[in-house]
Amino acid sequence: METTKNTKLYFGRPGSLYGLTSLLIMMFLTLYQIIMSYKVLSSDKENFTELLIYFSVFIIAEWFYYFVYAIVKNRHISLEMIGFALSSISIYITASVSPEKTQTQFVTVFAGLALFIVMVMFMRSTTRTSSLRMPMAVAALGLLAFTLAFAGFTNGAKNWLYIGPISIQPSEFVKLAFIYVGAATLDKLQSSKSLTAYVIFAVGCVGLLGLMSDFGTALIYFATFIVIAFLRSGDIRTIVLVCTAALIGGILILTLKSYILNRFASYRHIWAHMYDSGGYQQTRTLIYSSSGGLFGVGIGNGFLRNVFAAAEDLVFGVVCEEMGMLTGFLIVTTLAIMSFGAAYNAKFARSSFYSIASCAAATMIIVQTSLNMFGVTDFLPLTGVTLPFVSRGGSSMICSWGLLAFMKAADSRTYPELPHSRLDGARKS
Amino acid sequence: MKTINKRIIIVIVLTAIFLAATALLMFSMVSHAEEYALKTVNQHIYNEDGVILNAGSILDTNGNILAQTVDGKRVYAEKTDVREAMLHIIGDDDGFISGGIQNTFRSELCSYSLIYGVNTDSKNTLNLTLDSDLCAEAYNALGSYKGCVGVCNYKTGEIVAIATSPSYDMYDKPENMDGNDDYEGVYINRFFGGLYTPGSIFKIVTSLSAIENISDIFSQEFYCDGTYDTGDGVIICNDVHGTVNFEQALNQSCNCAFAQIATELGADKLASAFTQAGLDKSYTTIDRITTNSGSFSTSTENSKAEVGWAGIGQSTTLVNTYSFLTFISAIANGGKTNLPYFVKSATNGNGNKVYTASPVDSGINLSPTTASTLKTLMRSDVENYYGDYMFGAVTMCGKTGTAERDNGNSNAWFAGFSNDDSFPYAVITVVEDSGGGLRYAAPIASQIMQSLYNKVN
Repeated sequence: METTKNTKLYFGRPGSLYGLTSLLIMMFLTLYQIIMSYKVLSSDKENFTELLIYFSVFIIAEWFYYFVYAIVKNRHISLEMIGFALSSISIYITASVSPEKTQTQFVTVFAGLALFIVMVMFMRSTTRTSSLRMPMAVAALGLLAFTLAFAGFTNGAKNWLYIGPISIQPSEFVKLAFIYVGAATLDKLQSSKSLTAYVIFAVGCVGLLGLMSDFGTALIYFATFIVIAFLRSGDIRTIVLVCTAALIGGILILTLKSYILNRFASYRHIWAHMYDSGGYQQTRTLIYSSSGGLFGVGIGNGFLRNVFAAAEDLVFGVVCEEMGMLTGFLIVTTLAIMSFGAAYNAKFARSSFYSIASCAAATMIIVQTSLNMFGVTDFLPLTGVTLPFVSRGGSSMICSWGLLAFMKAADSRTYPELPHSRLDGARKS
Repeated sequence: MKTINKRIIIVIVLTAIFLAATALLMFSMVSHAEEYALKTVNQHIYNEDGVILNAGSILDTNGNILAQTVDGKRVYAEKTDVREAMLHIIGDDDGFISGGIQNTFRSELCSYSLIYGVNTDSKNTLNLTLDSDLCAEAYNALGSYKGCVGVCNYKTGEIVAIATSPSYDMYDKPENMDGNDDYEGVYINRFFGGLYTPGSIFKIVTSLSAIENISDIFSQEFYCDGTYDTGDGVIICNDVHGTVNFEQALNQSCNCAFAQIATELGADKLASAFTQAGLDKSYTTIDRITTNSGSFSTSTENSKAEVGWAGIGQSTTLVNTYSFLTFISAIANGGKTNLPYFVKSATNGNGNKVYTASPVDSGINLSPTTASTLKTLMRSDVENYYGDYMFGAVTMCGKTGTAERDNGNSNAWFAGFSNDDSFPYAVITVVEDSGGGLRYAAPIASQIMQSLYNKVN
């Protein structure tokens, strides 16, 4: 009874109109994926069989997930469908730009999906979830400290660990821990001691990232911290204070270590740096995004793909050029809609833990998307962060699915079997 | 929960700001899309070396193809001399030549649409007012000399022929051009970029000033015994002309007479005539070319001799060929003329015009009386001195010039126009390091004007 009432709140009863809609969306998604698969395959005869297998397995897996969760378990899978759609674009781009990396990208999408499923299952119990916060905080700081100590510089930042043939970016995984630790249950909310502990943890994380010279990621963490701190304390003065302190600290660091500023010297002057590293990537992104027009030159026909980090940092431009600016902007709009959805669902979450986690995950995705998209187009300085779900890169892909899990856990429809005391409270108020 | 729910607004605000910024980015990208897409590093249009690959065709006034893309490669005119003659107009592959229309008109040549992006198979065509055969004829007429030729319709401003020498075949670019005297200034289109000592064609400017400032100029008489002593220097004449009036002085290009007129006028009046003729201006043509501005200055002391030399076009005065053609076009056209141009229109694949030249006034504004008097004087030059036989069926007005240089031979000049309303063309010719204007420049001008006359009639 409770369940039915809930779900009615949004889309109507599963299996009715929503059921039909989700089937239609799945069919549209599959049609789009078949067309994209065909386009990639027709331009790559060499890896035809291998790629065909990956593309087919992806579509089959999608439908299997749909069958299990939407048909058998009668759940809403809107978030997952967005995840599937965006992840498949990353696979098509990887397959087209660097086919040899398709396998890794393919595997990490499923690793991400597996993490998503595990996290959603794990977060079912509120007590179990909050008991792990302390160990998670220690692990997160430890992993970052380890990375700082043992990682070498890769493209100017010490943020990669190489374990045999596998390379991982620990700061991506720590993002999940950062939210996990920051989100607190209601009983902890009023305690200033708890918030102080979190501030110390956050300063530790952001500080370690700064020391790694990974400023883009540090900024993402910082923005997420602000949102979490505000959600927990509701105190605007504290937030302003923290921001001012951070600004002064930032200016101080930049004054002391002015070489950092040189990395951003070409900001708003990229056309004067068309032929050097200061503006090469940004100018090419703008030139080739424009070349694609609204509908793109077709996957495989672009030139931005030849520029360094095309499938990673510049993927927004590659999508604009080859699939069209319409697709490019549709992707980021989808991420924004996802964020609105996360904020909306947070209002009906059964515990403040899920509310905060969902909002923090949304913030992280929005800030990271901003740094990526506005960075490569010179609206913001270029910091070299990935576009969630779409950029090639395993750590980033897995983290994106993990963030999705926080949003999913806040959705009251995710655990229909649980009593929704918090929800009722929220609705009454 | 209630408290948290209110605070969630922060995420909604953040996302809303993000969406607003995204809309701003989209607007910025869309409004700059064409500009960005046509940058010379865009490999949809250019190769790695910035050589244009995918662009529309360029046609001359008779529909002859001067440049087009065939199978992803840029193909130029078939005939070697046409390719060489059109090199500076079309532009080179390496980007050494500025002002080539493959660069300046690339947005008309390479079609871009916001919907389909950059078109790698552009069906656009650029139509020129130039007659490529006439350009090649002028280029061939210059032969091994450096120099340039320009012919335009003084009523409309349409340029029908431009030639600049030296040039080269872009299919077979010489390798030894650097430091080679034969290729000095090879990347410059001398017609638009050249600055030369005017020599006796400057007497048209001095005459302009005399007509407007000396009321009895036509009744004055000048005595020439081969030299003219200004008191602080001596002007040397090309001949001993004896007693001449103003008209005869211009006909025979008497330096003594014009040095006297110049000293009577003074440097300021000459400078103001120079400005009136538009010769001190740097024009930005509707073909998106910026010309070099000429300069008139007598030396610091403004000694009488200096003014005298300036009045006969020696001294330090420099004129730009294009500007001078514009000046004589204004004389021919009753005092005013359009700025000469050579890109007529551009059409897209559907035959719709994407560019139409809209001629602009040159800014030269001579009084109709002055223009007509100058015209009569220049007509008299040909009729009474050079000889009408020289120009065949074309009734010409004109003035030759022989600009002496410090080293080597003189630069030969001819500036003139047809005195025929149904054949309204003006011509300018410079032949560097050759000799007398009447011997080296006038025949080229004559040949081109007669060829054009035969084509038109």
